[in-house]
Amino acid sequence: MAEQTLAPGTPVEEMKPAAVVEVKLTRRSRVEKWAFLIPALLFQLSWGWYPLVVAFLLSMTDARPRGPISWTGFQSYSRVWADPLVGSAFRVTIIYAALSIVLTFLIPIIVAILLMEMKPRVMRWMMILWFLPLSGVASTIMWRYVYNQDFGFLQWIAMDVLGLERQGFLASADQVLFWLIFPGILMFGPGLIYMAGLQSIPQSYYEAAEIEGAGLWRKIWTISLPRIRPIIVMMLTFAIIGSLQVFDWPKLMTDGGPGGASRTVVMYMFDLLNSLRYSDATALAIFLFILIMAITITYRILFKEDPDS
Amino acid sequence: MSLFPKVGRNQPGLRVTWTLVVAVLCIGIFLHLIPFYFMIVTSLKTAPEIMRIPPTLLPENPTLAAWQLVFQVSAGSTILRQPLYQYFLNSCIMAFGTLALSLPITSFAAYANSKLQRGRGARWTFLFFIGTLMVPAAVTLIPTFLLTRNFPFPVPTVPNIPGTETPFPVIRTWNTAWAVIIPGVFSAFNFLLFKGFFDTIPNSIIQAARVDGGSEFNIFRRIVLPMSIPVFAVAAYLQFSGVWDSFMWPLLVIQDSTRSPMSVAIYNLINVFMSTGTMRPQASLATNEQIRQLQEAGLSWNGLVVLGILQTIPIFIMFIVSRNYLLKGVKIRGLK
Amino acid sequence: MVRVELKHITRKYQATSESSEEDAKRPALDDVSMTIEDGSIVSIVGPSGCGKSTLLKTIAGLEYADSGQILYNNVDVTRIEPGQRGVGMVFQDYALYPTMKGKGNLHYYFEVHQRTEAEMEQRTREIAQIMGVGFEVLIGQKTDTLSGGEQQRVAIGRCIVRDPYVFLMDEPISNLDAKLRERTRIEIKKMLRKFKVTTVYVTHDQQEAIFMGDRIAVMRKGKVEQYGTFDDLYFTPANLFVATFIGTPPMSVIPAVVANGRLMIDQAGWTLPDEIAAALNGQSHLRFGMRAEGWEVDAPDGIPMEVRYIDRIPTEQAAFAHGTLGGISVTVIIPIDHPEVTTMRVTPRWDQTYFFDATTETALRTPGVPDLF
Repeated sequence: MAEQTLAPGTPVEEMKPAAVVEVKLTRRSRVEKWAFLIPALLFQLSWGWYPLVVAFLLSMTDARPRGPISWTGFQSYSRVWADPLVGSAFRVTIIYAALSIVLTFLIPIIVAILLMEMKPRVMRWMMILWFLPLSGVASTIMWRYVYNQDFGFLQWIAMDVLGLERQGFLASADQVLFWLIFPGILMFGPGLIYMAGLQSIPQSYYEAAEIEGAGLWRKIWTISLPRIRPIIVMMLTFAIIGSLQVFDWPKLMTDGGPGGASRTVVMYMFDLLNSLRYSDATALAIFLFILIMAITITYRILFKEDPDS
Repeated sequence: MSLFPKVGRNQPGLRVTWTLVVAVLCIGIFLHLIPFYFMIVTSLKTAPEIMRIPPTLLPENPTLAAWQLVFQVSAGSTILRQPLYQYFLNSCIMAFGTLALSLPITSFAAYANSKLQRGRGARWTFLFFIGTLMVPAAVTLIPTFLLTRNFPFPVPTVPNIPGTETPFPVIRTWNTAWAVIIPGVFSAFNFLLFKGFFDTIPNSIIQAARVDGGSEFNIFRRIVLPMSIPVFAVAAYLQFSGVWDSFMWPLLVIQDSTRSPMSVAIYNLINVFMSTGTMRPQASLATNEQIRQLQEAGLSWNGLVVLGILQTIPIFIMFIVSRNYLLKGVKIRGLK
Repeated sequence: MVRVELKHITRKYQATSESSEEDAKRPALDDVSMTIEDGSIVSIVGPSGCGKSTLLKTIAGLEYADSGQILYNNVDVTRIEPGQRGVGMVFQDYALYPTMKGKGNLHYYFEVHQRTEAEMEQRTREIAQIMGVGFEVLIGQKTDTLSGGEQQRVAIGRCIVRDPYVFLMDEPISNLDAKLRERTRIEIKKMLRKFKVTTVYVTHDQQEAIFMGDRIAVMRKGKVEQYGTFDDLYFTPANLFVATFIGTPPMSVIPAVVANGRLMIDQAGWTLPDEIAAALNGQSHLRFGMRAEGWEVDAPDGIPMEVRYIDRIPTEQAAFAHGTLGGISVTVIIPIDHPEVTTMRVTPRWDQTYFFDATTETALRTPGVPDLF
C-alpha cells in the first residue's frame, strides 16, 4: 500500500472520506513483533507440539529401532490394554497420586499463609530456610539411607523409640508407596507462588474484614483462599499431572520393587522403551494422557466459577 | 501481616494462636533442615559409625576420610570413566547452555505476547505457548527422543528425497549436550512466569519510551529488562535447578557416558555401590577390586552423601544468588 | 511548532475485559476531524470511555487509526512512528522509567536518537533552568524516591527536553492532591504560554479543560460533539450534552411545551417573545435549558418554584437557590440577602435561554456569544 501524503497546503475540505486509506501498523513495529515471537514459536512448534502429534502417529505403527515401519492401527493399544502389568501400573500410579496430593498438596498453602504473617525480616529468613533447595539426587541418597532397613533412622524410631516390629519400609509392598511420597514433597515452587499471590491481596480487604469482626479463620476462608484460588487451581492441575507421571523417585529408590509394588505407569513405559517397544510405550503414555485429561477437565469444571466475577 | 489484627494482640486467645503459628513454622523449618544436617554430619562420620543404631547426632570421630576418598575416586578410577569434574563441566554446559538460549527466547515471546500483541491474536498465541503445560512429559518423551536422532523425522532411518538416493538433511542432536538443551529452550512455565510479570508493567511506560523513539528491542533492553531482574532471577533459578537435577532425560539421550551430566554419573556410582553390597556390611559381594579397597578404606553411605552434597552445591549457590528476588519476581495469576 | 490536523479519524474498539457490551460495538473514535492551530492549547474533555485518551494516543502515534489522516503542518504523519513525530507526552501515572534516575529519563530520547553527549547535557541544563528551583536535584535521584508532584515535574521535563512539535498531556494532574493540582495547573499553563508549543490536553474535569485550553473539544462515545472556545461552548452549545457538560452549576433542562404563544411547564407558563418563538421552528415539545444566572426572581409574571434549600456563599456575595420546577431540579442565582422562602417566582431572561429539540437534542436556540467589547 503506497504511502499517501498530501501536498502541503491541501485544504481540509478537499479531504473527503472516500480518499481515506486503510492504516495498519508500521512495518518496523510489525517486523519487531514477529522478531520477538518467531524463535519461541519455532521452538514451541517443533519441540512442544510436534512431538505430541508424533506420539499419536507413532502409537499406531510398529516403530522399532531398525527396519521399515508400517501402520498397524490400534494394535499396540490393544496389546497394552491386554497387558496385566499395565493394570497394576495404573493402580500403583493412582494410589501414589492420590496419597501424595491428599498428604502434601495443602502443606505449601498453609505454610505460605502462615509465613505471610511474619514480620518482613523474619519472613525473609524463614522463607529462605523453608525453601532451601536439596538436589533430587542428594535427596534420594538421604532418603534411602533414612529408610534403610538395617541401620536407617526410621527403623531406629520404629523399633527402639516406638517399640514396633521390624519394618520393611521400601522393601514392603504395602508401605512402599507411602514412603515414596516424602522425597517428592515440593515446598519451594508452589510455596513461593502462593506467597506471591497472597502478597498481591490489598491490605484493605483484611482491614475491612477486621472492622466487620472477622476472626482468623474467616479471613483465611473468605479472603486469602478465594483470592489465590486461580493459583490453587493451577497448582492442583500441575500436581495432578506431575504425580500421575511420577518416575524419578520410584526409579531411583526402588526401581519398581518390591515385586512391582512401586512400578508406576511411566516406569513401565520406560521398561517398554528399554525393550525397544516404541509404539507400545507411546500407546501406554497416551492412555495415561487420556486419564490425566479426564481428571483435569472434570475437576476444572467442578472449580469453574470465578471468584472475581 | 494481615490475618492477625494490629491492635489487641495481647488477648490471650490471639497470643496462643500466634505462638502456635510461630511454633508450626519453626518445627517445619526444623524438619526441613534435618536432611541438610544429617547429610553434613554423615559425611563426616566413619563407616562403622554410620551403621550404628541408634544413629549418633554428632560424629564421634569427625573425619574427612569420606571426602578424601570421594575425591580420590573422582580424580580418576576404573569406576568412573573420567574425573568427576568432567561430569561437572558437562552439567554446566547443559544448564548454562539451556539458560543462555531459553531465557532470551522465552522472555522475548512473553514480552511480545504481553505488550505488542492485542486482542484475539494475543489470546491464541498465549494458548499456543502454554498449551503444552497440560501435556504430560511422558507422552512426548519417546517422540522427542526419536526426534533428537533425526529431526524432523521421528523414525530411525531417514527417508530419501523423492527421486534421488540422498537422504533428507536432518539435525542430529542425539548423544550430545544439545539433546538436553534444545528441547528445553522454550519453557512454557517460564513463559507464564514472564508473561505474568510483564503484564504488571504499566503500558504507559512502554508508550512513553515509544514516544521517545525507542525501537521495541531497545525498549526491552533499556527499560523493561532492568525492571525485570527479579523475574529473570526466578526463571533462571527454576530452570537451572531443573536441568541440573534432570536425570531421566540425559540418561536416555546421552549414550556416551563421558558426556553424561553429574546427576547421571552419581546415579551410576550409587548403583555400583549398591549392587556390590557396600551398604550391607555383613555381606559384601564386592567383585571390583577397587571397590573392595575403598570399602576397606571406610567408604560407605558417607561417600554417597558427599556426592549428594556436591550435586546440591550449584543449586544452592543459585538459590542464594536469587533469594532476594524470589518474591518480587513471581506475579503469576493462574492459567487464564 | 506545528499545526495539527485530524481528518476523519476512525478507530475500531479494541475489546478489553473492562469494556462493556455497548462500548465494544461502537468505534472508539468515530470520524473525528479537528484542526489544532500552531501554538494553541486544546483541551479534550469528556466522560470516561469517550475516547479522549485514544484520540490523544492516535495523535502521538501510539494507537493507529483504522482510517483517516493526521497532518502536522500539512505533512501526513499517519503512518509515522511515535518516536519520529517529535511529540512529547505526559501520562497520568507519569510513566517514568523506574530503573533510571531522573537524568536518565531525560536522556533516553537523545540516546535512541543518537544525538551527541554535549547536546544532551546542554539541553538538560537548559530545561533545568526553565523548570526552576530544585530540578537539578530532582533529576539526580532515582524516580521511585520522588513524590507524585516531583515525578510529574520530571515527566514534564522529559517531555520538553526534546523541544517537541506537539505537547500531549493525558490527565497529567489528576493523580495529585487537590492543593498541588491547583498549583501545578497554573505552572503548566505558564510554561505552555512561555514555550508556545502546540498542546493537546486531555482531562475529564471540565473546569480544568476550561482553564487550560484556548479551545475545548467535548467528546462523547468516540465523537467530538463540539469543538470551540469556552464562549462557543458556553453560549452556543451544539446540543444538550455539551450544554449540560459545560458550566457550573450545570444547566437545568426542563421539558416544556409551546402552546398559544406561551411556554408551558406543567400548568404554569410564560408568554414567549416573538423572536424566540420564531427560532423554534414551530416545534411544540422541547427541552428548555437555563443556567443559574439566567433567571430573574420575584418578577410579576414569574411562575412559582418550590425551593428546597438556599446555599449562601458569602465569598461570592451571592446565593444559590436549589428548587424544583416541572419536576426537574433547578438552580437559580439570587442576591445573598434574599429572605428564606419556600417558593419563589422565577422568570427566564429571554436572551439567556437555550432550547433543544426533544428527540435529537440539537440546539434550536442559544443565547449566542455576547459582544462584550
